[in-house]
Amino acid sequence: MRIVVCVKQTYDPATVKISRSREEFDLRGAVKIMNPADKHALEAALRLREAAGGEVVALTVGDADAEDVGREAIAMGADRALLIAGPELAAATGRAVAKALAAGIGHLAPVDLVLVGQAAAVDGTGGLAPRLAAALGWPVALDVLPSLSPSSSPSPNLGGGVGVGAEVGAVEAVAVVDPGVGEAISLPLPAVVAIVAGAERPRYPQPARIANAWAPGLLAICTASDLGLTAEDLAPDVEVGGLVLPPERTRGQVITGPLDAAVDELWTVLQAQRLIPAAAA
Amino acid sequence: MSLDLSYYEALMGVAAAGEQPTTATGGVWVVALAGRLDDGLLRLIGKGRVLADALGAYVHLLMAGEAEAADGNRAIQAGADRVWLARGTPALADLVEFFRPRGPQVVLFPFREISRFATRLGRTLGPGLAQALNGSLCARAADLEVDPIYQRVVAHQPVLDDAARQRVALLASPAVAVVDTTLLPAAFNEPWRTGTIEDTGLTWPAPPPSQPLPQFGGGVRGEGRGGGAAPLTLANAAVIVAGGLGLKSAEGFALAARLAQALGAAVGGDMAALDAGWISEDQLIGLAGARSFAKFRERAPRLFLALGMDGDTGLFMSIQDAGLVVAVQPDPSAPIAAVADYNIYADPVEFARVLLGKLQR
Ligand SMILES: Cc1cc2nc3c(=O)[nH]c(=O)nc-3n(C[C@H](O)[C@H](O)[C@H](O)COP(=O)(O)OP(=O)(O)OC[C@H]3O[C@@H](n4cnc5c(N)ncnc54)[C@H](O)[C@@H]3O)c2cc1C
Ligand SMILES: Nc1ncnc2c1ncn2[C@@H]1O[C@H](COP(=O)(O)O)[C@@H](O)[C@H]1O
Repeated sequence: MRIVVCVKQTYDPATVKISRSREEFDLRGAVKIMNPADKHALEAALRLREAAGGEVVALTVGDADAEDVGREAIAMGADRALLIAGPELAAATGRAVAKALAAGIGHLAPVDLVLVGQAAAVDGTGGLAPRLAAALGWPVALDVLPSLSPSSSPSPNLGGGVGVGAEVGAVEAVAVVDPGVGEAISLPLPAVVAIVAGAERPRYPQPARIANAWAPGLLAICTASDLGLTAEDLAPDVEVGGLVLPPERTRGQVITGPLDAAVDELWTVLQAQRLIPAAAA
Repeated sequence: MSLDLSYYEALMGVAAAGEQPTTATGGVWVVALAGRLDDGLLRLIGKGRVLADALGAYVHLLMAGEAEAADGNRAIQAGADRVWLARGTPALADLVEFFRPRGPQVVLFPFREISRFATRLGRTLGPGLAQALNGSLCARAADLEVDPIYQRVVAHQPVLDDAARQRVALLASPAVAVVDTTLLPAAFNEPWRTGTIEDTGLTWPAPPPSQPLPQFGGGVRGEGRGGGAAPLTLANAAVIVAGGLGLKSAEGFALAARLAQALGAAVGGDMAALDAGWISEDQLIGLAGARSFAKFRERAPRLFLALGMDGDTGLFMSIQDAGLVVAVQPDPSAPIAAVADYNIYADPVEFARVLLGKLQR
């Protein structure tokens, strides 16, 4: 089976600062990394390949820097990578990225399964997987844990595994519903699956693979127009404005009064800072 | 700087916006898929009302599932002009077929519906609809407003784990937003409002029965509200509740741990708590601990709640990046009092009991 993993280059959230005066991100010290959820998606794909055989292809839409995440995916174990880059993608928003990824998946056909990260660090919303599925006309599952099992046909029974090289008609998985509560799902292929972080760590690249990742022929680069996308396809659907910030902090404040009233006051503060959901009140 | 003429033209257009809406197409749509109206959906209808008033449009509610007329009346009091009833749960293709001829201006989905197993419906169908109708999308909005100049819908999207919100203007029509309704203001309940309830006659297939797995283990609240099963640790938790000797006993500490669970927080403690056997080594905060300044880089907590801790340099170094520090302990001259953003001088065990009671209500 051929599995495509969509990997995205994001900023490491620990290195992104917020400029209060400018009401925007301060990216001067920011470091670009592979989106953490995508590492879990890649790990899920590699395990599925170990169980059912086939090929794992990393697919990324980005600028020239995004080549790094393609190489990193190969170093982690992907068989090859495709980078869709170019100046016409510089201002691409969610709609255009979904179209470009769908075009890339069409280019890689036949594809059985597409794995994406549930949401990007820093500013992710989890909108990409259902958008991509709509663009492809495939079913989609969200919030799925990385342990996927292959099965020969869509059936509600968990664990109906297939051997390496056999025909895989569906994947069975667990979607997270609430903390500690999951739901068994079975998806007929082809399908798009959005992966959340699981308990196991994604594997580290092996030194030999790191060196190998730069071997010629493993990473292909194409432009959006190579894939038949027009300027109209790539037009931005949204425009990003400034940040809305919570009130500023001051140290050493004291909340006085009887305990009940003090807790109420603290509650209000925590709500204003969005640290307690409003519904819990 | 050149003069932006579109700004002027848009300004001239504003006067017309307040007029009575007339067209059969367009409008602000709220989509309720789980078949019941919960408080979140009523708040979402209210938000739709506010947007529609600014845009000069009607508010439509599409109610799928086993919706009843009584729900429709409540929706009208909450701000809907027209309620459309349907049965079953639509697939994306059904929803596209429903909306394409109606040319909605705005479509709002709840991020999370009343039924646990419907939580993914809005998050799946909203973005899918946006893509299929070539519209614009904010797949997770904490709030929405209408830009008074350009008359565009602007979503506020949480970033960096809601440390801030990014304004996202939805340019292409329809403007689709999946809205976290827990963050919206209270619902309207205005009996004088009138509206119509129509049956679409549409029957969509019932959703496949879900297969809950209540004990799949290890699951705790992880990154964001999407859920996840990565274990919650001092290094990745957004909220940390930490205890010191001021909690006095293992029972006191256990109460703090329960509070942490209710807040979706990781539990930590200082060396004294470790010596007392209340915490394990990987819960130690301070110079030698798992969350020491040197070892910690993964993520700073947004809230650090210190219960019964006087604090020392090791602690302060470990939490210096924390978003908000709240200290509860009885002594105003304790070192932590100057470091914490908020202090409550009280018995931390009593505090934990009161806050826990409030959270569980
Ligand atoms: C070499 C070295 C390494 C250290 N490494 C660490 C480290 O890695 N992590 C760390 O956290 N700390 C470390 N410490 C500091 C030491 O463990 C702290 O002084 C201690 O953790 C402080 O505990 P506390 O915050 O509970 O404050 P305390 O000063 O103990 O007081 C907290 C509250 O507890 C109550 N209380 C205090 N003592 C008692 C008592 N005997 N009976 C009843 N109630 C009491 C009081 O109400 C007080 O308000 C280290 C110290 C040394 C010398
Ligand atoms: N430019 C991109 N290239 C490849 N994959 C992407 C890209 N943007 C988003 N994705 C995928 O979509 C997921 C969610 O991203 P986001 O929609 O930005 O939250 C990511 O984890 C990736 O798997």
